[in-house]
Amino acid sequence: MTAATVRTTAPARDGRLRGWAGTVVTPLLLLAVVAGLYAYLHAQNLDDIERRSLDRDVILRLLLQHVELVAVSSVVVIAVAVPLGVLLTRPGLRVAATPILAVANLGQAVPSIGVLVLLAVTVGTGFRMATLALVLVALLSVLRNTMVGLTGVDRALIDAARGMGLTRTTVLFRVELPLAVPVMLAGVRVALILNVGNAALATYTNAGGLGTLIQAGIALNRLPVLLTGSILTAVLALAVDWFAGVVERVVRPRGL
Amino acid sequence: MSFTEYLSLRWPEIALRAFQHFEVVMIAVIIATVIAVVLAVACQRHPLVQRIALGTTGTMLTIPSFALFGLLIPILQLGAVPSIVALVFYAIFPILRNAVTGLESVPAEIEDAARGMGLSRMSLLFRVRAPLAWPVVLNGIRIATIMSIAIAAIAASVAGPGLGRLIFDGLARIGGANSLNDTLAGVLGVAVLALVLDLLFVLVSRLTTPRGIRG
Amino acid sequence: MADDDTRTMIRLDRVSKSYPGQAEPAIADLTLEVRAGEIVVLLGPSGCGKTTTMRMINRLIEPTGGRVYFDGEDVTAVNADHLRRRIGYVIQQIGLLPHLTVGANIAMVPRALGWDKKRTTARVTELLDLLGLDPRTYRKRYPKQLSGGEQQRVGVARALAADPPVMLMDEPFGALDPIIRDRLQDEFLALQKKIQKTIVFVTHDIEEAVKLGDRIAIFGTGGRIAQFDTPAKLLTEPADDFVASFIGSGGAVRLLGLSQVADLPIEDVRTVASADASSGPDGALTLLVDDGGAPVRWLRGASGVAGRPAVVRPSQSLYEALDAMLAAHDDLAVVVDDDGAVRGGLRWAAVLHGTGTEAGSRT
Repeated sequence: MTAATVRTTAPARDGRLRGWAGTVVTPLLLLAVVAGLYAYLHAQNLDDIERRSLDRDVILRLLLQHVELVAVSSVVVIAVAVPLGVLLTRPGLRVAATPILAVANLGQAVPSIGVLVLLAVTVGTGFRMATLALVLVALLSVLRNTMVGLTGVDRALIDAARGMGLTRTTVLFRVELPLAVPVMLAGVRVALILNVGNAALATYTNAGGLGTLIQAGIALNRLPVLLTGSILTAVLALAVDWFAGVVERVVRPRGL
Repeated sequence: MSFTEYLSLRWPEIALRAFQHFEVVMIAVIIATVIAVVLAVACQRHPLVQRIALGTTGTMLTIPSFALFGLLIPILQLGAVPSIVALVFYAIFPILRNAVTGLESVPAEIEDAARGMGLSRMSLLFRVRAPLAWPVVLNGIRIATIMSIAIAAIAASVAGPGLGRLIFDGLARIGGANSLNDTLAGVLGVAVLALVLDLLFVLVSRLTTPRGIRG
Repeated sequence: MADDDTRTMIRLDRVSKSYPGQAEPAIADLTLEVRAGEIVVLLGPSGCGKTTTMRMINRLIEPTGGRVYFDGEDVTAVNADHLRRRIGYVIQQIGLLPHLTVGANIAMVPRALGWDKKRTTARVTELLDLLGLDPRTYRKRYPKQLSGGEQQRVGVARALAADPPVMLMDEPFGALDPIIRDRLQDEFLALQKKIQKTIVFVTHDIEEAVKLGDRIAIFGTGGRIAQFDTPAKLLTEPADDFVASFIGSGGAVRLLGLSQVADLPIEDVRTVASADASSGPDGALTLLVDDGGAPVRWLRGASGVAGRPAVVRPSQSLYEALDAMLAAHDDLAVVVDDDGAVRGGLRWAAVLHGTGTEAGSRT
């Protein structure tokens, strides 16, 4: 279990800043932090190593790598977990749902750094392996929320739709999935945040990302490098969370 | 060397790492529990303060642990202290959320009856609200603990103690003789520790939940 | 009915309650006296302020004006928790603490008052017995293992735990099904005979009010008492149209109109043919009759004084019986058969209780 997962347990009271204030204040705050970091780095007398690590192009490349890791793994997670969640809630396969969720919950006890390193040690390193590790770790939150969202749909609504003569497929797309969207979105948001955090660890398996700066900062004992990496990673995570929140509000079907 | 051979040879070190892991997590969770419970009690009946406290601690969870460790190094150097501080930082939210929910979920009629009997504010808190909220709070502590065990594995990146060291050892010796064994020992150790503590919490919950409110 | 000379236990003196942001006060200038040992029912439609009034007695709601006296003592500003420990409190939702056993629930206030363990245990046993719950079975049970009726018995036992002189009851039987409710009302009346508490009882059910109340305060709109009187007076002499329509809308009056004197049990009345032969056993009712057995006057009536009796026939309605008793200022009517001969006496209380669903089962 990772920090972000904890928030899914209670979507109604997830402790995020809500409403207008949060929507407007958060990006301004994040911009201010980045500006502060920029000012700090300028005031600093950077040595050679630091200057090379903190080159604009280098930072941009790492940021891009990070975003790429997050984007690819998140898309794969959604592409795998949503259909799987739908399958596992169909009448025939429902019996398999409980054991699969139980196993998946057990798997949650495995730390993300463990998954990354295990894959690196056994299969190899690089972008693909890191992406695979991220997918494995984040898959559960979307899978579970898809299943919870679908099974949470009022049976009476499904009965009514079936009674009107809609096919199972139509019911799935017109009734079940739209009603499950809020819960599913909460799962996707958690997966995104998990991926941002775990992508920071991908540097240990040569997959780049902003974690590279943190790792270099620790290894070379260079504070400016360490701080730049940490702050940018944190800002990225908060920005992604903010963005996901906005999307969540826009995509959520009206009336729910 | 097979994994079983490795285990029989290296178990003292693994046990030590596991114990350190457990220690760091427990210290952090205990501190977080004290902070969260005091905060929850202090801000009961103050919905706005509650929202702000939950909002802030909830947003804190969004910050990646590796980044947080990095941010703590300039202040706290490397080692056990930044690990514990970071874990406390994350563990507050689940406990706070559950404490707030638990304290709030006491049915109005029970509170009315208790007040009508002349229970003071303090005895209302300790004899009515707290016992009824306890199972929910305990579950928050459980979630915080399991979460902290996984995060503590990353603490090895800032030279923190625990099973994460074995994982990073395996990474450092990639391609070497015991690389996989080290990593496996670390990963499985963390998983087993989490499961054992989870079971322990189930047990504690059974033992400490009053019979009248058990499910 | 309570004697007029008993002391006043609770007095609300020009009490008012207004909430910020509301133009009209919830309660305005309300004065109410409750005598020791009587059951006063606060009756009215929902939102009339009856519950607010009751909750101002134990200050769960703080009045914004006026004074509250408890047994002669001004309690408007004393420590509310200490005040509440002297007042039993029973609510519709019962509010037993789910994490405590029945015994621990009842022991709550004694513990808060610092009773020792032995005394508390003995008191719990006594109360469970009193409420008809076997202590051996029920002491260790948890609330969720009890039926609704049993839970409310425990609720009453808990309110009685520290033997408070006063009990406040907010629709205590309102959530129970009719049969259980009726049985609990009967048990409650029997219990009150034994314990003689001063009771303020809130309900919106007229039949319950008539059945249980020694006096009834009918709340009108705007937190004002429209009439405060005995059940019979309310039924027969409503103070205004509001009271009349409120009473009339209930089943009590209908029952009074539909039931006959013959439906109720009557008690024996000693009749004598000459005033000289009045030396019967002490306190026995003695009625002078003429040659045909028709009543002439009380030699020793229910209120101890002589006078013309209220006379009713078995075929008359209870409403007419009450009317006759009121006219005669007597709470015992003489029942005569169609020939006018005395059959026995009919009590005021029996008529009121006759409006309950178990007409006549209790005398």
